[in-house]
Amino acid sequence: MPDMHNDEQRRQAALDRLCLVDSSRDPRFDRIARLAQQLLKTPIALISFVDRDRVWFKSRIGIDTEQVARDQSFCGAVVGRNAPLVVADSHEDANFRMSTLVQGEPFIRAYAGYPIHSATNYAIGTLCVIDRRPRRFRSYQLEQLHELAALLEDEITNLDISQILREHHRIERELKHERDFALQLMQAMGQGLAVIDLQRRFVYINPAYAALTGLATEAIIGRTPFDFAPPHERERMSQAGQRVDQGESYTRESVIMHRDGTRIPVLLSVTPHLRNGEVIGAITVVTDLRERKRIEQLKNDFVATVSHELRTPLTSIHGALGLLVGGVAGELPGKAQHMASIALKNSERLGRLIDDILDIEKIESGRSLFQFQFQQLGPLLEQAIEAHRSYANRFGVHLELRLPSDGQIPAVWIDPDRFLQVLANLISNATKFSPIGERVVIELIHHSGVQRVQVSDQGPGIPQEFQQRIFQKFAQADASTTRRQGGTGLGLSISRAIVEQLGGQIGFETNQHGTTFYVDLPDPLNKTAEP
Amino acid sequence: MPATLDHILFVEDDPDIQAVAQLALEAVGGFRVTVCQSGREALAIAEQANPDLILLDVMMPEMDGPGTLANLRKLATTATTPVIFMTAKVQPHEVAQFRALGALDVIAKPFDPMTLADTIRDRWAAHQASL
Repeated sequence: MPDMHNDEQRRQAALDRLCLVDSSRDPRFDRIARLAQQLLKTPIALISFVDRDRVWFKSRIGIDTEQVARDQSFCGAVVGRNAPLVVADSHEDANFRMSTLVQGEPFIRAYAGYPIHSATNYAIGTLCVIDRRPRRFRSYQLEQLHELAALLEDEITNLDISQILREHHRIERELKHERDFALQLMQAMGQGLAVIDLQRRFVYINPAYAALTGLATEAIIGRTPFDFAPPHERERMSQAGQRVDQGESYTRESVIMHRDGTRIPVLLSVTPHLRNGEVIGAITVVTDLRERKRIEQLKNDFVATVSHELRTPLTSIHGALGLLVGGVAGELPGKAQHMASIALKNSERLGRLIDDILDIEKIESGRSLFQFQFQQLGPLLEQAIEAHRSYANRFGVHLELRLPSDGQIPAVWIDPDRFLQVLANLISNATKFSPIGERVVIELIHHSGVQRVQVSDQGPGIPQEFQQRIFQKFAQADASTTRRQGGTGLGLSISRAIVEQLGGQIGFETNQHGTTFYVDLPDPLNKTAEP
Repeated sequence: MPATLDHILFVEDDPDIQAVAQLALEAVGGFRVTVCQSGREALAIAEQANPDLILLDVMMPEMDGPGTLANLRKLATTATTPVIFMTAKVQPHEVAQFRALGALDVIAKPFDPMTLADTIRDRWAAHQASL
């Protein structure tokens, strides 16, 4: 069964392409219409084109109307059936008796019309004659009308073919421009671009890719990426290739071997090459990581140097002051002793600052190697509390551990030393801000898919205006707390950096009766369930 | 091997740190200390000095701490002498590396001059107990 809807769409497209509807009058068309009127001796002759929901008259002899509704129209019927229509008396015709064109202007009684076809053989309009009185058309007259319709069709076919050719040329030109543009983009790209087929053979590469291999483009086309991969990469490449064949994309670091033997670190972003939804190969964008690695190395070296260069003089300062204050170099007068103590305390603080700055720099840049392992949280919390017992005693604060009532203490996937560092920071903060005689509670809670460790104090709470920047570097509620509490102002930002590396989240809840900091660690069971 | 720690060979290129550590070890710890400026100097006098323990800076020009240790091990007198490193760049994986080289321990700079001697004595005692 023909698809009526699509057919009408194609018919309309054929008509649109001709650009005839709403065009100006054309003497070639008018001549044919006038000839039809004279040969068939009717008051009206029309050349109509049947547009979406209307019939528009290109030539109209004996009538002024430019268009009528397609619905109930005679011309619409001719195009709809794609066949000639002859009506001797519309009042006797059940199909048209009630048409508005019969009951009202132009009061059609008799009608004879032939369809006009496009070059692609779609009925796009009619050549027709109309009488306001009933009449019987003679067969030779209808034959003449048919001949004129054929003449009109020839005219339109010529028009149509030249339109089609023009359209073809335009599309071809556009395609060429697009192709040229795409090619220029790929040639201009600083990143390497390689397209391979399903047999893993290069079908296109850009100059940047060729440069990574050190070979000419012609020497690469037809070879495979395996030819430029070190042996240990080939297995991973072939596995990744199978995933791309199934429509997956991926990004990973890899290595390309240059012709001169250099191994170039690269980032590969591979996506399936699709044609009509079918995977026909893979498109790979290759980013050269040499510069990035070089800068990373420079930064590493710089940090190492800075850390050494800062700590070396600090070692002398701290050591000399320690000996002075310790009385090793002789008893100091009271004021000198006091001053030397201040200097010593601050050299210690400077030491902690250097440690913290280097630490956070390393964690944030991902250069700190985390030693992940499955770790029971209970013993770790006990260890953290034990380590802070004497510190808390100095502040007159009691540390209390609360474990889940169900006795279930699951293991989590963390770096225990790094997590202890976070706990140390949270416990010492809570201790410092606790009123004397109060408790700091360290608690483990199961919390929808995560293990929550929280540290609560009964301190004065965090001031509203400070809550926004509490995790920022060197953020402390007011400058005087730095001095009094002896912190570096980096503890919480280090903690957050660590928790993020552990795949968790850190946050707090606070009011004037106390503050709770919590760390949510992903449940390892949940983690394995992820894709 | 003597059961008590008396004589320490201290190898450090920074003269200020030399002075501070020497005072800390002598006045606070009651040790005898021989100070060297470089790994080369340490190697030159090691046989004659015959220390009970060697305290070795890691970052030194020319011959660094690990290099000095390797060369000391080639000398008969210091082939098994306990060595402790001192470094301003202490990281967990580095500590493990230094231990693998045969060091008893690693002391981070800046160190506490008042407890330095005790720390060294503890490591020494632990080492003696393990023999």
